[in-house]
Amino acid sequence: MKFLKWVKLFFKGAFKDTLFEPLEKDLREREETLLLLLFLHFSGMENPFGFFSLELLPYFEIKPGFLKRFVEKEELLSKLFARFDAWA
Amino acid sequence: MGLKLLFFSGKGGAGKTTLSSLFALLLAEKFKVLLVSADPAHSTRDFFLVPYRLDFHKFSSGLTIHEIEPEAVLTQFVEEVERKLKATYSSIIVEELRPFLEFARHDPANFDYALFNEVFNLITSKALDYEYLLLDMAATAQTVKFFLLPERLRRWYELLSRWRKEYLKVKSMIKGEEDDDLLKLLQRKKKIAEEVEMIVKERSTLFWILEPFRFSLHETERALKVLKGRVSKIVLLINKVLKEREFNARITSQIREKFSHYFRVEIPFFREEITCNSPNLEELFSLLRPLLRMI
Repeated sequence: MKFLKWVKLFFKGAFKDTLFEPLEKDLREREETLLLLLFLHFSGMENPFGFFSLELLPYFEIKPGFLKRFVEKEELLSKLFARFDAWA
Repeated sequence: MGLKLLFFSGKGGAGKTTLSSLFALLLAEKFKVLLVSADPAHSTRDFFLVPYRLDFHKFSSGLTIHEIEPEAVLTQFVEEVERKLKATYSSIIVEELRPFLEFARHDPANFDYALFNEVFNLITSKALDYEYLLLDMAATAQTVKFFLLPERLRRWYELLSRWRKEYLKVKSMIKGEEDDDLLKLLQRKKKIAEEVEMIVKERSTLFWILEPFRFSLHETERALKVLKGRVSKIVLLINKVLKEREFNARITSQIREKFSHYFRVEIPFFREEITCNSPNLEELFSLLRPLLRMI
């Protein structure tokens, strides 16, 4: 019985998990991008709904290291917006 | 019949608190009335000669008064979120999220929104047993922001729900269909915003208070342009009218002309300050009585 379970787990690891990994990464990306948008005021941008974003926080699947990734994304965003400064 | 809303707003110092409190007293003779001060710089307590914060204070058998303290409601809101975060995530993640909580607690923009949120809760509350809810708003800018908010929020939650649904579509490929708490919350919030929008549009009167001065006249013109159509009825209260002053009388007639299609009531300038103990309350009530037809 135990052997069967191992075989099952082997196939799950070898095929199912590798198959779904890109999808899971995509999900994580989507969720963290949404969080970045919800807390734009954190990066100093105008966000009239910042107050209402707060109560959504407990309903996400936030993983450890989130703040670091958030700041990295924020930097990416500020680089993007810096281009607009050059035009002004 | 359902709860009816009466908003009082206008330029700073025009007499919002005095007139809303007077009208609340008049209404409370016949109905169950809740007077709410949604102005962070509360002065309702000064009209009712109470030296402390009014917290669902029962003034008479018909009248209850409540002052919303933005700082207190904001702190309460943040603490509630923190409690939920602690129940959902590990302590490491709660620590990572702490800057968000601290930021929210001290962001000046949030004081207004916390106050509006509280007003929304009051409007949609099923537990309150009143016939009229009088809202003494802060000056023009805050009022305009308040009236624009429900529609904007509804659209915002609609957008977020759409995004969440797309996210769940991908998620269901991996984990199968599951109930999602965030989607449920977003839809509930959207419903509240919709309900507020509907109540304000269909069951409310805005009493716009202005003084016979040029600034007040122009501000009223601009504000009503934005607010028209967002509230079921608008009534103008021209306060502090001094017929013997030429300038004052001229602007008053300009107001009459410009806002001829609005229901208007003129209130003369009184030499003594008006409080709940004023000897001329009856005289003031008789001036406000025509408004009863408009609510």
